Amino acid sequence: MTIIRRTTPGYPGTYFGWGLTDRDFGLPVNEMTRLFENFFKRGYLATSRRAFPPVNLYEDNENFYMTAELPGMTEKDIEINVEADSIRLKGERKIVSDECKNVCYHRRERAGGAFNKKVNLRNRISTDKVTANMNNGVLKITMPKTEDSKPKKIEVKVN
Amino acid sequence: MEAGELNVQDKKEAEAQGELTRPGDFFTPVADIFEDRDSVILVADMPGVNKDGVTIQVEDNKLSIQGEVGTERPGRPIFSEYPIGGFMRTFTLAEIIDQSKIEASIKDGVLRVALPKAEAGKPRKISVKAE
Repeated sequence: MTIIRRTTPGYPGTYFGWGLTDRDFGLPVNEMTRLFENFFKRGYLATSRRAFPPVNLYEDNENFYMTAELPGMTEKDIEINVEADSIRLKGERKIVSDECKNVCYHRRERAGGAFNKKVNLRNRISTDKVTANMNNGVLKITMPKTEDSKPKKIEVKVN
Repeated sequence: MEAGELNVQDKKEAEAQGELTRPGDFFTPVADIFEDRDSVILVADMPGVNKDGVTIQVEDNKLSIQGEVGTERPGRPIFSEYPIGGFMRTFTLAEIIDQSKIEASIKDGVLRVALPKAEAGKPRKISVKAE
């Protein structure tokens, strides 16, 4: 697994919230786009337009965590690009192996292919301290918060 | 969208035979099934499932696979694109399987079950005698 870290200056006002992803169209993905996509996904278009892999985001006081389901993939198959306010997962999921030759398929549901997904983060992270591990086909990335992203406790003095 | 780009396959809730008496959600794992001369092979995606979480049962001509996942989360959830839960699916086997020789393995969240065909189910070559 490669983790490429880059510290880019932040552009205040360009954060679109957690997990709203784009496919490098250079367009801000805002809530409207999301509603639009959800509308078509539920009602009219059967195919999902969301990029693989699906991700979940979590946080505690110290870190943000991102998990992604990548069954059959190992550390070597994934490239992680970390920037101060976004994270990108790149790789290819290969399904066909030698044993699949000269056989008769009854069912083929598992999908393979290349992926390149960017997740914009609302808060800034310490790019140099990002770690990642794979366990049973689930990727977990730990992203420590920068000091100003951490929750602060303010003491109130009583005179 | 570029050609060949991979999209999310939404998880489907598993349809249980009868009501589940256990807590938690179960989903239908996506699977490939293929067959060669000697065996039927089933490959199913079950991310998050380890060796100890897998249960495989063969009863008559029904093959059931089940996978349990841990319920711990790294922190407070703030955004979610996929639900987390166990996996469960039942297949009807068309071939006659030698139940004593079923082999299963799981690696990186992908379950592989090899079901060897019983002698009776294998294709056989019948020689024709000339008189």
